[in-house]
Amino acid sequence: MTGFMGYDDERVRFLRQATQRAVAQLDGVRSNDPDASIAMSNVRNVQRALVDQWLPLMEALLSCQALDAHGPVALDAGDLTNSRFAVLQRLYGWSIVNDPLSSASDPAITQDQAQALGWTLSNGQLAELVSNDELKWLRHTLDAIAAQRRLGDAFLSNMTQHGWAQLCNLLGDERIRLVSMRTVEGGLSVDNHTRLADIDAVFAALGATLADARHQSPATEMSWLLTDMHPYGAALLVQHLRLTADELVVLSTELIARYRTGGWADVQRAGPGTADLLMTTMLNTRGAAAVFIKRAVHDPALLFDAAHDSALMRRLVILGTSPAQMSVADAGTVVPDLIRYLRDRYTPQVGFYGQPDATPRALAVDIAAPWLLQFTSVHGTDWGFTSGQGAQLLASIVTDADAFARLAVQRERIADGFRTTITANVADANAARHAVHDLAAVLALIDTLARQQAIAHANEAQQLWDIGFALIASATSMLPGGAAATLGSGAALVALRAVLVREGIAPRSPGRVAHDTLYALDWQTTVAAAAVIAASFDQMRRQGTIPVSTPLPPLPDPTSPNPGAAYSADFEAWLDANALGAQGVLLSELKQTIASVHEAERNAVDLAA
Amino acid sequence: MPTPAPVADVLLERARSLRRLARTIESLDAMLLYRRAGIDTWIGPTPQRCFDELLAARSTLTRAADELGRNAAQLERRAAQSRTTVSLAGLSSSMP
Repeated sequence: MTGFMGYDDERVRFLRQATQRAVAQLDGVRSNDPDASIAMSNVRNVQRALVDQWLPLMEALLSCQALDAHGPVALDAGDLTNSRFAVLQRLYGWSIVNDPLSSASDPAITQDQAQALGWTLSNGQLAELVSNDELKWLRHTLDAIAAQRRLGDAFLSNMTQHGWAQLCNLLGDERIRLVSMRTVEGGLSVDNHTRLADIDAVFAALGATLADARHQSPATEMSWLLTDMHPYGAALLVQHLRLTADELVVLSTELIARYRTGGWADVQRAGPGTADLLMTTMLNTRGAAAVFIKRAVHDPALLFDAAHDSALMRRLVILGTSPAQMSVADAGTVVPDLIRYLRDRYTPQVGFYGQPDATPRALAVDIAAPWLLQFTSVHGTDWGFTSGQGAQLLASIVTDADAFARLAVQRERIADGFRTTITANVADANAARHAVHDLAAVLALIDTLARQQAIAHANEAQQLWDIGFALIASATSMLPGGAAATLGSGAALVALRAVLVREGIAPRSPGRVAHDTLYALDWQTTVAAAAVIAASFDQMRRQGTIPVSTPLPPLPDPTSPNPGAAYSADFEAWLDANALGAQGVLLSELKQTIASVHEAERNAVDLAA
Repeated sequence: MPTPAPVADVLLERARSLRRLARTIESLDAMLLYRRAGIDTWIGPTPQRCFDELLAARSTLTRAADELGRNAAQLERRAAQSRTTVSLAGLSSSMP
């Protein structure tokens, strides 16, 4: 819907002369042969179109009639929708006139149109880009440009750093206003809703065009995004650049650092800000969360004090520090430092957007949860802890019942992290023994934390119970016989669970745990040992390495005042009564391992504390 | 007895004329006019329509020239048939 016609006077003059010559030639083409009648009819049609339609238009443009039918127009350099004409007028001296014959339909986007738009965005003043129609036109045009490589190249050839900054800053600030309005007022008018969608589409098209260009030239430098552009506009663009995790993190780190210097339109505005956009992009880019956290550990405020949405920040932290994204060694350079930062240095600024809804220590607990094994002395060397240091660090953040409860509800993450570590050494001939060692170590650590908090409430005891069983389930997959053994799958394990439930065993019964945490510790150790023995027994019987007729191993006696000792006695008696040979020796070793390591670990922690 | 030669000659002369006409059309400036009406000369919906029509005119004139060629070939076949018919008739009449 331009309504304009642009032309080069000299070239139109040549066109007119050529057309006049063509008309004269056509006029000279004659034949009376009946077999030439159709051809002659076609010749005359062409001649008529030139004479009746196009020559008069050319004459009008080149004569004073142009002032009447085709009034001259002076276009503004920042006129986006007519940028193609404006550029030709301004840079090439073309004449631009109103075109009364022009149709209302949008012309197809051409290369020169794309070039002209790039030039106008880079050289015009865009302060006038306020109307929805202009924005819609820009979206339509940029969509077309993004869809065709040659148009994209033409557009980019004229886009300067200033042009990018001007457009992205203008639209970015407008988006901040609209999103803030939507957040505060609960919605937008239809017009503003459309405007917001158009802005997002413009950024998507700009990003796609840039991404395609980078795909062709991967070495293309992107640091210009960091100079003139506001962090928010740059973040909107970065969302669509399809960057690798490393590239994304480099840009995101710089942009978030710039954002934190303050003074931007999105600072303390409702709705997602710069860091929220970038963190969302990192969450959606494989591996980026961990890479970002490894960089941010040197300036944790980039991580904890940048996003407006604390839940989003927490998701990034949890994902980036998870064993699925980070090796044990990498986590050792990150997790302890982040925990210490949250414990000692981080102070939420009350009343500002983006402050965590949980305490810093609770967030520290979230980070620690999947790495409990690395806090034990058994795995202390993984992260360079000396004896008991890891447990002390953990205990320094699990300082109250709320923190313990937060740890407890993450038993699945605890178990996942535990499983990751013990399965990492699956090729080791002693993998099963190590797994049992690790199980004992983590159980002891949790015991210590629980005792530290003097658990007296049934729900907390229940959580302890749940953590223990989640870990036992992980460990049993490493027991002799392979991964087929899972908790509750065999007769002995089924019997164990049945008796525990029936008897309302200690952690399930508030009365039993509340009065004696030491009893609970003994019980937990006993249950762990019994679970390991039961799972191994089931597996051995399934594999035929012990007779099917072998009686089930003993179960802990919930009524005993010393369940650990009572179970040990029953277990030894059961072994003596059944000649199980090498399998009996193996079961005995497993039982001893879990009990002795558990106790040793607990003692080590106690000593360190 | 009328001689048939002039009929074939007339047909051939018409064919030659059609072929000359086709060549004339193919060499018209109008065939290449569209090249001068592109976006380096003028832009806008109306100039675009002019360009499109000049391109279409080229196709129209090309088809016209092709048709003239086909018609000329048809006339040439008819002339050849006419000569053959006359020759056979001459042979037949000269047989005892």
